[in-house]
Amino acid sequence: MGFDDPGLTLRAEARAVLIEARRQLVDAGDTAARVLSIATEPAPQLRGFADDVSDEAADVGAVAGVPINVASAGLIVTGVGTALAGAGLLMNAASGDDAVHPLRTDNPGSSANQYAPKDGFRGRTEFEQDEIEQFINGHTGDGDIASPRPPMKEVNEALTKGTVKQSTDHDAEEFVYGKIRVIVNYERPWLSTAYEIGS
Amino acid sequence: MIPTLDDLRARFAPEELAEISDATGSADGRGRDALMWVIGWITHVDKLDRDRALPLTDHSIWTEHDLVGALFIRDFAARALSSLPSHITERIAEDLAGADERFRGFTVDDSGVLVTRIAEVPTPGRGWWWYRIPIDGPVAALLAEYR
Repeated sequence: MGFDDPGLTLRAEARAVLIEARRQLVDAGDTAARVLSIATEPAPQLRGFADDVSDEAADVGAVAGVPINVASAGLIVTGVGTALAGAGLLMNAASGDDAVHPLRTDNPGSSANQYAPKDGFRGRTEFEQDEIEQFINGHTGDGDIASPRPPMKEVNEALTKGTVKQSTDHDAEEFVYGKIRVIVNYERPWLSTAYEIGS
Repeated sequence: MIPTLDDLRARFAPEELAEISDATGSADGRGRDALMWVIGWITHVDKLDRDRALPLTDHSIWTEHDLVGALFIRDFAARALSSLPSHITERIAEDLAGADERFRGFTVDDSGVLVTRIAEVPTPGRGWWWYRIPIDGPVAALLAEYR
């Protein structure tokens, strides 16, 4: 590809930022789900607030001559009423026009590394080949003579004609054509790169 | 202050530049000469060093593969310089030594096994730069993911 479209680079970078933000949201959502799961596990059978209230009410009732059950029930009902009032406020807020919905984590592809449709380059990223080439070009110095990395033409040749090898360590592929090696990072496409192979 | 390619070229007469252009250091036929490889090494060391302050989430960071690319450039520079006479190489020796010293400054000794595996080249018998890895920063973090 000989035409260097700066708009393409900007669009690809903007999409990259969006994808990274989406990844972080998914990570945050997964973390929140784990925290909620832990927080909502059945509580152990320990003495709780109601037990303490009952004890205090018993003491007060004993001193004042008020039946214990009536005193403690009054305190507990007051507490429950307060809790319900608070819950009502929460429900109103949650159902309003400005309600904020938690990120779903049960959508296909919403787990880590599978957060986006992958119908782009080789079906493994949402970026097309020319966008990958733009990432690599920007990453390796835009063909600057002082940065002796492969120019876009050679990157294109490697991606088009090179032999392909899956990375054994990462979600990435390696393309070798002649002395040029291109690494396409599918997890973070903007970190894809290219260099000349020595001996 | 990092020198530019023009800075280095300005130190030589036209006939010396012609001699330098024959010292490619690589059989790729892409026209790179000794001065380009030296400048390439200097700029790559600078970038790798500056990246150490950046988080892994930064889109501009270089990776372990860029480190490998830099090490190959150092190989090409060494090979190109070895074919030039000393009255030429001594005029860029200080620049090369400065970049080497800076590289040593933010790297530590390493077996070279992992980096050469990533580069897909034999481990023994390579230049000293293959046996150094960044002490911190993105490349150090990315290399740690292999271990």
